[in-house]
Amino acid sequence: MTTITAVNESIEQFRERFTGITREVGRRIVGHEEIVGLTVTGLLAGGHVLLEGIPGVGKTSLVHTLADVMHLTFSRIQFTPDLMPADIVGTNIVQERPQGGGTFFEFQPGPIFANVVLADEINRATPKTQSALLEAMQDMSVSVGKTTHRLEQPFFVLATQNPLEMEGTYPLPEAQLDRFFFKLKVLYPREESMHEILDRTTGITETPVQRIVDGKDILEMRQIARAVPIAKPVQSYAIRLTLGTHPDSPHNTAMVKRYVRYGASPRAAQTLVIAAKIHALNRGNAFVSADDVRAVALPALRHRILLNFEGEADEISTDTIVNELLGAVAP
Amino acid sequence: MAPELPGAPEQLVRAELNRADRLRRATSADRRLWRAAPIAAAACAAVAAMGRVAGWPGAIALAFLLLAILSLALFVLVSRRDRALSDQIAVELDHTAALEGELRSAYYFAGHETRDAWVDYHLVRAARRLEGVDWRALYPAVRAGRAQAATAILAIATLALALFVPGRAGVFASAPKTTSAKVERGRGAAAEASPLTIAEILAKLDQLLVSAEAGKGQAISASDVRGLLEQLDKLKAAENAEALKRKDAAKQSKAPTAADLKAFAERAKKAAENDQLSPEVRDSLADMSEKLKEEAQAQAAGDKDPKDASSQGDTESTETAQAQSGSSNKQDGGAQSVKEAAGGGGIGVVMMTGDASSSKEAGLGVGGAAGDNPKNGQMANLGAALRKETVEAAQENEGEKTVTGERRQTERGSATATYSHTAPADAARGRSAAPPTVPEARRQALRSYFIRKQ
Repeated sequence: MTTITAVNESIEQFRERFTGITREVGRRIVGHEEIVGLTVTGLLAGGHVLLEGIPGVGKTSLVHTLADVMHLTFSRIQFTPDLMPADIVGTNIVQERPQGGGTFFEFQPGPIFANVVLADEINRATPKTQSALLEAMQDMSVSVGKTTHRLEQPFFVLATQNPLEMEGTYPLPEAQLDRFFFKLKVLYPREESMHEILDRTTGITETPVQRIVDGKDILEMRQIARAVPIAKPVQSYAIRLTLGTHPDSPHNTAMVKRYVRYGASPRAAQTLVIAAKIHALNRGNAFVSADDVRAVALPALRHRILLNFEGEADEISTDTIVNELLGAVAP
Repeated sequence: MAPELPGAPEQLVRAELNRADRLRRATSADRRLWRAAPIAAAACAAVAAMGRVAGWPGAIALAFLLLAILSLALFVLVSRRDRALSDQIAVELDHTAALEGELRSAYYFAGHETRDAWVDYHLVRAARRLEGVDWRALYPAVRAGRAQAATAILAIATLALALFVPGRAGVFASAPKTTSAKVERGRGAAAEASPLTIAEILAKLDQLLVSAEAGKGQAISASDVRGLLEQLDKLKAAENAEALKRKDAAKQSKAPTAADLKAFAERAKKAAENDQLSPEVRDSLADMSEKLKEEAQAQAAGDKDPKDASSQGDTESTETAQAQSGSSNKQDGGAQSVKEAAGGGGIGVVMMTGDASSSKEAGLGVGGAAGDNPKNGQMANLGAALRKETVEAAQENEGEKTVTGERRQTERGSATATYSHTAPADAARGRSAAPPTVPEARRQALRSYFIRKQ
């Protein structure tokens, strides 16, 4: 019974912290409650989040606020076409020994060495520079020369990008896209939210935020999230959803067959399950339901589906494909 | 802290799930049952009603009813019997109770050995939550008052129709009884079909004429008179049968004489001139008068036949021989016979047998060969042809008998006149069938139809 009580306390603690983070972020970021919740979910799952939206809708502010609320080291990288990989990961520089003992190479860490990294306008850099993030995002380490440097946990990349049709942008490689836990679309705020934004940002006083959690708390929350049991039929639903994005799968739909070139990877199924667990915990449940999986399916799958020529030509949105899949695959 | 559970959480979860599933199936089965039961009962009642009309034994409807009851009972039993739970059932129950996936997940973990604190917590919480679910409210007993009432009424109606409502056959009617009933029905029909005797017809006619003479014209309908005319025709048609001979022999004392017939003919003619009667009745009575008069003449001629046969010597004996040759020598394709009436203008009938019936007895009748073919040589046709011939003979050869002589020569094989053969059926239609009477209401229209407007 003691363990059951401990589980109950863990769930309550998780919920309290999660609610605290979103509440504090919501003090600065208005009208994006769902985006905030999913961003925190990605952070607690140990993943990275790609935020897509037009300039000025609060993407960068969101990341800044998150770093403030979570008492984590924060760095920002503004991606530009002339940004080099070394500008991100760091480089070895020649140092003179004291007392004239000669020179030596010393590693100078780049901005990637932080708990929360804001990769602002990531699609403005060249693919070569974008790829500099691959190892850091997947292995939580950076290799420079012959030395591999571990990144401090929690490590969390929040990338923002403008819609691809805008000029001067380079689409992210599929491999890098797959490493993002979620892809969130930040939409233009509604009229009532605009009033709130203006009230908070055009006055004299700046809205302060409280630090709710630190790095240790976040790692603890990650452990709690992973402990939530998931029944095999529910897990099967997540798998079927993932497989359904493939054009040659028996679980797919007519749209998938017609417009999809490549479907989601197994990483997508991992994302679905972990995100569903956090979603369940956030609702106070110690089990995962099909509804939890459905709730996180869109941000988990939309960037992992690669359209074929016909899909691109017909301007088919991957959101449409995922929504159709959710309607077709029985939970 | 919540109170302790009465048992292991996984067992509680499974037990609760089983209970909920039983209720779910019972509700579903009842709903389907009371949807189907009125239809089945209505079908049984329809079968019972049809059985009454068609004369089926009532046991058929009872068998249908029993079969329907057994089928529905079997359906309920199969639907309600315990089944192994499945994830699909758990999903349905979970959805109904709005448990947001907890029951489905708990059902899965309750059936698996792998346990940890989180699973225990999950099961305990699920068991507690399930305790609070009122499954009876979620799956209430089906209230199908109308369907139940309709089913009961229809079932009772089926029983009543099968057991108590008299039909052509009772519910306990056995095969021999049914057969005897059919025989009885057959006898009744035969009795109806047999024609009235001339005396009975005359008795009925007498009643009609008395009514007409008493000024009760409204009481007589044309159909009554027509009915008697038909009976008269039937009687003539049956005259060549042996049964009729026996009947006549039995009732010979009551048989009307030619004088009686003539008197009835006169009365009918008089009634036909009565203005109080409707034109249709008057026409019918006129026809009746004509027929009776002919019948009287025929009867009078029949009485005189033996005398004629003896007095006419060679001629008649030759005719008789010729008439008999149709049945005796069976050589020619047809046989001709002339029968001459003693009185007035004389009556002659030419009878031609068909080639197919050449081997049969010539008999009496238009077209001859009345043997097996009922269409040929019937008395009605013969009578009609006779009348026609009589009228023609009376008009064209009044008192001279020239044609008769020629005919006789023809029959002897030395005639100069030519004859053309006519098919017996055509002859019957063309010579014996009188055109139907034009109704009074249409006479004016019929007249004006043929008169072109100037």
